[in-house]
Amino acid sequence: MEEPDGKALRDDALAGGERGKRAFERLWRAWWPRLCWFASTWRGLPAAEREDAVADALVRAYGSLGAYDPSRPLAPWLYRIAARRFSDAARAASRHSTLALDPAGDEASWDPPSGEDHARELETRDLADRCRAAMARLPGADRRIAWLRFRDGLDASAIGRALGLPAGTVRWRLHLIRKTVGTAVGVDDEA
Amino acid sequence: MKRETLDAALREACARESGTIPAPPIPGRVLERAMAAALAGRRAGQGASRLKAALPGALAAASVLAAVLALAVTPPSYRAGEPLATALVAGLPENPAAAFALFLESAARP
Repeated sequence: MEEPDGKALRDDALAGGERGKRAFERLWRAWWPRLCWFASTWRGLPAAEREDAVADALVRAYGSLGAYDPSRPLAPWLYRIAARRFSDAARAASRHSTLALDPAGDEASWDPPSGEDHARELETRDLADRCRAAMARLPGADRRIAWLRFRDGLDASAIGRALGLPAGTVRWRLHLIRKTVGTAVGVDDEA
Repeated sequence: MKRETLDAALREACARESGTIPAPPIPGRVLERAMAAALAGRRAGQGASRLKAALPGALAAASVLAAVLALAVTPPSYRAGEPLATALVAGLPENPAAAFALFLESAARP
């Protein structure tokens, strides 16, 4: 997946016109899938409202790019905007909606491995599959932390900025996440 | 197995997770809202820039006003002709802030 450069994105958005449109398309392509998954960690946010919330978060982020400091990484800034939007939407849904909430975790849907040398690949896939299932059973807040750490490679400080948590809390939660998932999949968490 | 194995499996799990959701085409109304939000953001940014540019002038004007007010409430012992008032009046057009500071300093003296 193409990772848009924060500075270029900001410059293009501020330029407006066709450049601005292309910048939003880049933002959408790169971030829509990530934010959709991220939104799914708010269990109070019904699936029917998730895509609207993601689109809304991207529109807000795009409209606020003028306030983004390009010397800092884009991901924590954008996740922060999305986290606020999803929290608001989940709160509103819990007050007003009578829709059934989406059950946690979808079934794995990737293709089986092909070729002869796939024993190792199968093992890797199996472990990743079990990790995925174990992650789906984590509380929403821990799934968010795990996602930002293992999908986006953010460190504890950046995760803290994105989710409004102290870095020390994030480190402690990561320790517990490794321990929980490691136990579930039979991998000891040894540093 | 070690933490590296677990972390690698978690990274793989997350990568597969995000790979299962393709980005749909941008709905027309969303694109319109994005462009409108960007325009509003640019206008707000321009407004803030103008305010920032006008700030030194506004501060200077406030200093002049403060110095004039200070002169207006100058105690009788500091009326024109006396050293402090002369210094204030002389310094006002050049450096109102310094003149005001001088007034405050002198007023604070017993």
